[in-house]
Amino acid sequence: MRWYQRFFRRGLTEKHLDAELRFHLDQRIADLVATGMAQEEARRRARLEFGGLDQAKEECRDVGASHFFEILIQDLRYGLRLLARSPGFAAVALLTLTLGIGLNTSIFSVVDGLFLRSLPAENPDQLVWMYGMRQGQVVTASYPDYLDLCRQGVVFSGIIAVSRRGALLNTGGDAELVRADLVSENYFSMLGINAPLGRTFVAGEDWSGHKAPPVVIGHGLWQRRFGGDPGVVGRTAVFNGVHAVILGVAPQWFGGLDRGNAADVWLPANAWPGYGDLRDRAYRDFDLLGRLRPGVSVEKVHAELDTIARRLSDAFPATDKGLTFLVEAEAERLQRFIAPVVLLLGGVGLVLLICCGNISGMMLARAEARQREIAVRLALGAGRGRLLRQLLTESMMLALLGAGLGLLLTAAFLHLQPALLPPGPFVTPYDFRVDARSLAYTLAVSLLAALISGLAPALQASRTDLVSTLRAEEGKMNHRRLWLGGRNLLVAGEVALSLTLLIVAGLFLESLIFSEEINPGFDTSKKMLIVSLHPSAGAATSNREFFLPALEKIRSLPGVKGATYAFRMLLSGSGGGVRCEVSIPGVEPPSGQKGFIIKFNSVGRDYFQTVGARILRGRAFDAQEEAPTHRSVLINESMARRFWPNTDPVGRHLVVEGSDYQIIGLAQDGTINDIHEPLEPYIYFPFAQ
Amino acid sequence: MAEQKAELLKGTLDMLILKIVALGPIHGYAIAQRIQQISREFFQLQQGSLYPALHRLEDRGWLQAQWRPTDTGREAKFYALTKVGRKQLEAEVANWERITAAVALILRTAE
Repeated sequence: MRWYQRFFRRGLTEKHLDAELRFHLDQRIADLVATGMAQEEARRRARLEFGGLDQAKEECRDVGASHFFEILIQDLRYGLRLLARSPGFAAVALLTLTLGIGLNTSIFSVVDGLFLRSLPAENPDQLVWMYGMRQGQVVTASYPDYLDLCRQGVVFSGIIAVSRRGALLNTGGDAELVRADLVSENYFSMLGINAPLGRTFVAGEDWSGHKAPPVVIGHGLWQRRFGGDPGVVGRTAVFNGVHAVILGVAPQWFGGLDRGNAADVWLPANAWPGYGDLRDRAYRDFDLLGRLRPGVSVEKVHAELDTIARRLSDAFPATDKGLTFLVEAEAERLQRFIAPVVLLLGGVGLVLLICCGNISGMMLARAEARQREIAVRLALGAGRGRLLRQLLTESMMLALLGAGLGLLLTAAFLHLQPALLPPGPFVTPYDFRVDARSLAYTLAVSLLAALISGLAPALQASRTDLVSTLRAEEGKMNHRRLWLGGRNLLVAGEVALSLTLLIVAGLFLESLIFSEEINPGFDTSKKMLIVSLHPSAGAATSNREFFLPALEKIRSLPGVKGATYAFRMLLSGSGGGVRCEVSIPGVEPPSGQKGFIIKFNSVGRDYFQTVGARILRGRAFDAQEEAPTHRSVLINESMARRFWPNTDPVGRHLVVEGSDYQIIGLAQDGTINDIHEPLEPYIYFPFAQ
Repeated sequence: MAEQKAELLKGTLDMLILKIVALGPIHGYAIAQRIQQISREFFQLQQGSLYPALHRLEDRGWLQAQWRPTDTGREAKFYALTKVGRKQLEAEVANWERITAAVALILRTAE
């Protein structure tokens, strides 16, 4: 009989055992009576010959019970009964563990999604990022440089180029700004990703000259805009006014290489020659990811990249002079995030430790109550190991129940998590999920929790002094001794941990308050609503026809005090910014360059007043700037400090892409993408034209 | 009583049971009788200790049990040897013979 059969047919087994032994005795009695012995005497004699009946039975039962699972199930049944008998303890312990483990799993899912998971590609270990290094600054690559690297490099089995763009998608109804990755055509084949629907573009495929360029769309966009239509392949979608044919749909789990910022569409660069300037070596906007051939040494990679960089530097001094390449594996790149990983996992780890401490305390208290039971078991011959095992099984059971509920908590958290992110047009649902990795983590964490919370009480309980416990009334006499050592340690540890967490939380709070005080360059007390407007394809696209009437309508809404428009949003968080090349009469540009590369924005005329950015000198834009011939700009304080130190910049001139502009005002400094970045020069152009 | 009784050597009970069951399906009481008869009442066997052994051998898959009526019509649990059990018996007998031969050899040469 297998252990599980025995488990389910426990009653039957017991009946059989009884019958078998009774048969033996009856048979012996019958035989003895047949020899002439009296019935009573025969019965006595048979029992004597048989020996201990109960002991034999017990040993027979033990034969089955020596199985691992049998004991486990026995202990689990016992543990569950015990829990059911003290629902208060069960509820508190489970709640504590659920919170502790759920918190850990949730944070692990987040940390894993952000900082730990390897790139979503085949053999991610072979992949390395490549950056350019020029004049002491890390730069991204230009498309011509990328093509040269591909042609001349031999250490890589493939290199891909990726540039994150925005594109205006129009599928006939509303227009939507989508995240488009402009990629080299070998992107999917190099990463080893196939389209579950349709196909992807592949290495060597030349799309230049195609009337309708191809796109691969993301699973999310497919669901959102096309209702998951399986017939989407071959349909036309309009991106930035260009009719493109949908070639395939990417797998659901694939959102590109930018963590937490999934791409909506992928466009092969060679099909979109007009999109960005792919022939311009000065236009550095591509991240490069290479796949190393197996067995290639780091030295060889560096040597080859140095050679290519030298060649580029010699051949194209205007753009590539002094260029070198850096290589970084994803794992190395992720090491930059070790601090938040340690902080987050360590923090929630401490919380779990405190939870374990609490449960440990409760178990110690329970161990006291169970002292008599345990003493009785020991007296009946239960081994200390067996007892330990049972007590640990009980805490494992608690921990695993907690883990199950904790996973539910995590699932709920991950479901609600998008609501915790600040709203904005570019916020994507992060790819946080409960997968095999987080399940393994949860299991490890909960087993650890079981050990931490259960081991001390179990050891303590099984050390019960038999005689004094059994003698003592209600086993209460020696509870003092049992309590002191372990519990003091526990309380001290918990206080220490709580204090640590409290201090860390305090530090977090302080930096939060500190970041409140950062001056972002506008009045944060104003309530602002940022709306991104995208004219639908074929509709009016000039500012006069579209934005001005739209603005008028918004201004006339009740409750709106003011409205303006800008090319780039405040603190858009995109990490980049539009740039232009500026030359300033009397200021020497950096060597090898025609001018300074400076970020800019184009803003409506009430912009400064509406967002609450102060004009320190000069004036803001007004009706004069609505004339297309009037070329005026405002600059920020950083720009004034850098180029006109000690003089008033208002009234000065600068040249942007060949046209002369006059500075009419000085605006207060502000950060561009997010409040943590350093201040830098910034130019405001009038948006009116 | 002048007769000398010996404790059964540890581990030999299993072998004896297997040997007896090898003769054909048999119930526990009969096994106990057999052991006592064959050994001419030499071994002192607490009959109760037979059953844990039987259950252990069954659990290891060396014996197979079945409830069947005896001659008197009463149901009893009959044990029979399995294939694995037969192999085990052969191995144990071979082992036993090796040990006794070795012990006998030592005793003879030591004289």
